[in-house]
Amino acid sequence: MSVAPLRQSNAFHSDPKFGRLLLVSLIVHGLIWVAFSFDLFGTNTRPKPPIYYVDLIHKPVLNPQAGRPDPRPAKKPQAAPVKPTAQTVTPAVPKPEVKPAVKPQVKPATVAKPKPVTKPIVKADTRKDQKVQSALDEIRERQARKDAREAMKDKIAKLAASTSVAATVPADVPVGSLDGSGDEVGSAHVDFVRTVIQENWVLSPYLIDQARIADIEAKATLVYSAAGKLMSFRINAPSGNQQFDDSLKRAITKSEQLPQPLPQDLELVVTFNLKDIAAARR
Amino acid sequence: MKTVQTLKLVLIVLFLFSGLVGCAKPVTEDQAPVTQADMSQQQEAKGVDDKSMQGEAVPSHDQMAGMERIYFDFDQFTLSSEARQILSANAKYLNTMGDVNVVIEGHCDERGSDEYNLALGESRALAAKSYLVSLGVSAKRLSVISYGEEKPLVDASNEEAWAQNRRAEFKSVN
Amino acid sequence: MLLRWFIVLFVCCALPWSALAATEIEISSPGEQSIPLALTEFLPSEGVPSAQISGELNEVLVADLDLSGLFRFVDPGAFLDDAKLIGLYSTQVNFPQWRMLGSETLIKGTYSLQGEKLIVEARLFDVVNRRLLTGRRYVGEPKDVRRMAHAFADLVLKELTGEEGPFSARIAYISDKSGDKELWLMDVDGKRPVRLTNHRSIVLNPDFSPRGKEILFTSYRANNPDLYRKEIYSGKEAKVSYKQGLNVAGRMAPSEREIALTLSKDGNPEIYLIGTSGQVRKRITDNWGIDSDPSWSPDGSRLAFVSNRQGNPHVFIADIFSGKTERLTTRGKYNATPAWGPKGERIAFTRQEGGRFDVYTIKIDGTDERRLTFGPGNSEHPRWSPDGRFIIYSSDKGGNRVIYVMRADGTGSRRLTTLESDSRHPAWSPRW
Repeated sequence: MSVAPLRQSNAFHSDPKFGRLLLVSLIVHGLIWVAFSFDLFGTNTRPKPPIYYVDLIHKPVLNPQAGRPDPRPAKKPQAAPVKPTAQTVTPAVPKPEVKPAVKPQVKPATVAKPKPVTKPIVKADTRKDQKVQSALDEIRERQARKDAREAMKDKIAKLAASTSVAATVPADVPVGSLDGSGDEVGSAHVDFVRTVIQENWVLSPYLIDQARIADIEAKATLVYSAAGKLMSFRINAPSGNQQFDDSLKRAITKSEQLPQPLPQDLELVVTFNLKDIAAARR
Repeated sequence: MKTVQTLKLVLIVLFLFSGLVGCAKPVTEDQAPVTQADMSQQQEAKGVDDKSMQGEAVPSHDQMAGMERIYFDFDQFTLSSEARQILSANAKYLNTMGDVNVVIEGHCDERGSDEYNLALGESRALAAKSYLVSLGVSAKRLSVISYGEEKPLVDASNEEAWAQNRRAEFKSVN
Repeated sequence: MLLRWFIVLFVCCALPWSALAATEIEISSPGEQSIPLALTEFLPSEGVPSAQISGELNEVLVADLDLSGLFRFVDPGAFLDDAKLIGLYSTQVNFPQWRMLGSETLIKGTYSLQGEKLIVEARLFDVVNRRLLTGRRYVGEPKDVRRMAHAFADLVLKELTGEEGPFSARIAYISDKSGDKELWLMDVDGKRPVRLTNHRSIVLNPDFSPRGKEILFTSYRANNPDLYRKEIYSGKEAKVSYKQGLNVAGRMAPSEREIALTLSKDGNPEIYLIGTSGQVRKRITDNWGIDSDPSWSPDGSRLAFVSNRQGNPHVFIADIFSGKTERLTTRGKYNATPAWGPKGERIAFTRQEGGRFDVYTIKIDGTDERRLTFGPGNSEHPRWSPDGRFIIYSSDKGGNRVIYVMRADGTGSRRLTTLESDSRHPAWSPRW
């Protein structure tokens, strides 16, 4: 395609149609350039499949009312419904609503059927003792998680006892914020953002030197717009452990758009540490 | 006129070039290093060929007739009174057998660390040896070897078998 | 007038700031404690497709990475079309698709099998930041496929944790598979066992030299428990120490200039230091009881060992320069087989409790003791992987003694050797 116009440029003086040809050539090349530079054909990135977050209970509000604290406040708005393995599907999200939203995006490409070859990945080797061991591990893990939950509950209970409002609230009062004193049902927006970031934070304790788990800490400043968009962030006080700091950056990147708008702009100084893990181990 | 021509030319060349750039796939080089490893250059451990090397089988000595085994408590190498009686009988027997040399084998039951049991077996054999020497047997005629838990008398995992395996044996060497 | 403008300006500037007064919060545990990893099947780039090659690559990577405890595997059944596409560069990967599956990391790769030549390309991607983290191209023969996968698993751990994995190393152990107790060598997943000795006697207690070129072991080949050294690649073998009595539990110092071992030449099992050609350099212990089974601290200044000098077997630590000795374990009535961890902070050992042995670890100052195994059967002879992430040990819960591996916190244990024969005394080689 690049040869033909060159030849014509040699016949520049003789050919009267040159002007028109040149114009066509310009337009065509311009189009090609536009197509590739703006990725009209979608060679590299497919449009992101839409993900719907529906949360009618834990919507962040400006003026939360006091109520019974939920041990796991806004866990649900997290992307759970999309995960095929997720167990905590939000009851508020009717399944059929999510599925069709995702499927059509995928269909045009080659169908992603689970192939028989991938099956062995999920450990064909299921000997008895391994089963027993994995069961044991699971129990141990579950225990650890339970301990962590218990610890959290204790914490909350203590907090609740200290605030007279929460202490006088009967058990069946709707879920609200522990320190809420307003008139709206829902989570305090800071709690809400906190939960979103925590849910997006993935860090294996095996990445960290076991001796540092108790005292590793980093601070980050995050600025969210009222629309729930992360405007800027900065790790003010890194932990010095690259794996830890990288995991924070990933968590923040994943939280760049909150699933719900906020009542107002929000600047957060978040302290990240592993104190709950350290406590559960003790 | 001339300037217009050159301008046109420049434009053509420019657009051709931009077209080419547009056509070229925007390949961003990845930053992470992709290095190459040649596995065939690395050395591999070779197993032994069965025929290439002949290990001599351990000559098994027979338990000497007339010399009884002695037994020990778990994790102990002190001689019980029963063991002392047996050893004095053994000493008398040895003193009648003028020129026979004896190897005392120390053994343990299967429980416990193998390395520690090697030492424990050695201590058992040494305890038996020094008692025999104290009863007048020449130290030159006595040698010791520990097999730890490697040669149980009874191959089972129960109290009875373990009691049988915690022992010192006396074997003649020629 | 000017003043009024100033006030307006001030209010304009101050308003958003007052609304944005920073709120401080604390997050004291991550929402997920394992990294979601999508491990795709390796695809043929050219040459003959081979289900065996891609199957083995996958099997090894799953086993190694699962053992590390770092990851949660994204269900391959949920993979979308990008799993079927070759993607060796970040521009070729459809990251949103993987992000949608909840994955944070992604492994992709290709292989090409042409005659006797196998080329494997493997890549690790960061799904969140859409970039290539690390990659390698392995060239070899089809028989090297498992080693390639182990090597890449090591690389993945190095990229994500800063410290290389130990999966390319080997495990030396004693097995009676051939009829006698001989020295064997296998991969860290228990595959490809190779027999190294043919003594037809009793071979015991292997230990690698710190650089991994040699193995020290004890053999009764000459009717006495003598200490041997063997070069792994050449197969050359020599006696190091063959004094009357015990020459057992030989452990080469980190400097490779000395060997600590138990000798009974003076009438009682004691710990000595000898040169690599066998001459005695120093006696470390001197008392009436049994002293055995030394283990070097990583800096080569101290030895942990077992002694019953105070009645029951306990673990002690001796400083080899000053000779000062301190007792480490205080609980239990039988503590043995100390193994000093490669990080220097913890020592693994076995303790008999209720008639059974289990593996424990303890800090070198005697605090923070942790029990790692909980039966059934006896779990004994713990040894560390060179990175300190894992511990191998022998267990007789299935009848015969067989070798197991677990994480250093006691989780994730799995069997490595077959139940048909007796395998014991595992030792994890340094990285090769």
